[in-house]
Amino acid sequence: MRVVDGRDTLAKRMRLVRRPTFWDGMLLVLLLVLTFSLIVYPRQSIQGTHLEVRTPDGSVTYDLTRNGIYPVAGPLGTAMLIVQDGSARLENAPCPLKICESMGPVEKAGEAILCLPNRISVKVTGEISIDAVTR
Amino acid sequence: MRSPGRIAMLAMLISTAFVLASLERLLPNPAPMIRLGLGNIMTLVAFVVLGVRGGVWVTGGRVALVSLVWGGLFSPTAVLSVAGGVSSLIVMVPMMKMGGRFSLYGISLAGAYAHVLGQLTVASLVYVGSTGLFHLLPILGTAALATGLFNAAMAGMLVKRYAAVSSRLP
Repeated sequence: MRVVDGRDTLAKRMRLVRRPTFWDGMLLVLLLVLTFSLIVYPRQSIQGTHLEVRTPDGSVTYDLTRNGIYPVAGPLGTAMLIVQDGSARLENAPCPLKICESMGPVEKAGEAILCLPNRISVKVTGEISIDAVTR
Repeated sequence: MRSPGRIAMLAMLISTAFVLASLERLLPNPAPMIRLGLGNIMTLVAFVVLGVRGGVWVTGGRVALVSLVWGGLFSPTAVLSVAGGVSSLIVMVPMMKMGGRFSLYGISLAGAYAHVLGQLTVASLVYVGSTGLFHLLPILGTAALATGLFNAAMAGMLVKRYAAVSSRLP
C-alpha cells in the first residue's frame, strides 16, 4: 500500500487485514449487478439453428433442430455431441477435468462449448431471418 | 526482495500456492467449471507480508509451476491460466496502491472476478472466435464473488501468522 510519505512497511500493509470497508461493499454490489444483468440479457438472443464443430481435423456443421448423437474426436479421444430438442451438450469427454461437459447445454446463437485439452469447440450459429428484422 | 529471509518467505508462499492449486485439482469437484482459486490466498498473503511485488511473484510462480506440472508449459490450458493470473493482477495491483480504500476483501473479490473475465475473454476470442463463452458469466461470476470473499477471509487468518514470522526475518 503506497501512502503519502511513500514508505511501504509491513505495519502499513497490515491495515489491509480488517473487516470489509464501504468501498468493498460498493464493489460487491457493482459486480452483483453486472452478473445478474447478464442473466437477464441472454433471453433476448435468438435460438440457434446449426452447430459448428471444430476439431484439429477440421470443421463440421450439424443441424441443431434435429436430434442426434455425433462422435467428436480430438487428440485425447472421442467425446459424444448430444443434440436434443434444440440444445447441444458434450458427454463422455476424455479430458481430465470434464469442464466441457458442464458448459452445456447451449442453444442460443453465439453460445459455445470449449474443450481446451481435447481441442474441440462447438459453436451455435443461427441467422437472423429477414422476416424477423422487418416484422 | 533481496534479503535471504524475504526470498525464503517468497519461496514458501509460492510453493504453498502451488500445493493449494494442485490440491484443488485433485479433489473431486461436482461443478468442474467453478474453481475455488485457493492459490490466490497466498497471493493475498504475499501482498501484505512482502508487498505488491511479492504478490506478483507468487501469482507468476504459481501459474508457471501449475502449467509445468499439470498439462504443459505452452498448452491452451496454460494460456488460460496465464490469462487469469495476469487479469487478476491488473486489477489487484492498482487496488493495492489506492491507499487503503479497499481491504483484502475488495482486492480478493476484484481479483477473482477479473480472473473469470480474463479467462472468458481469452477463451472466447482466441479459441472460439466469438463472445460464445460469456453465457457462462452469470454462474462463474457469482461463484467468483463467493470464492473471492472466502479467500479473503482465509488470507486474513493466515496473514497474521506469516507477518509474525516476517517481522523477525533477517
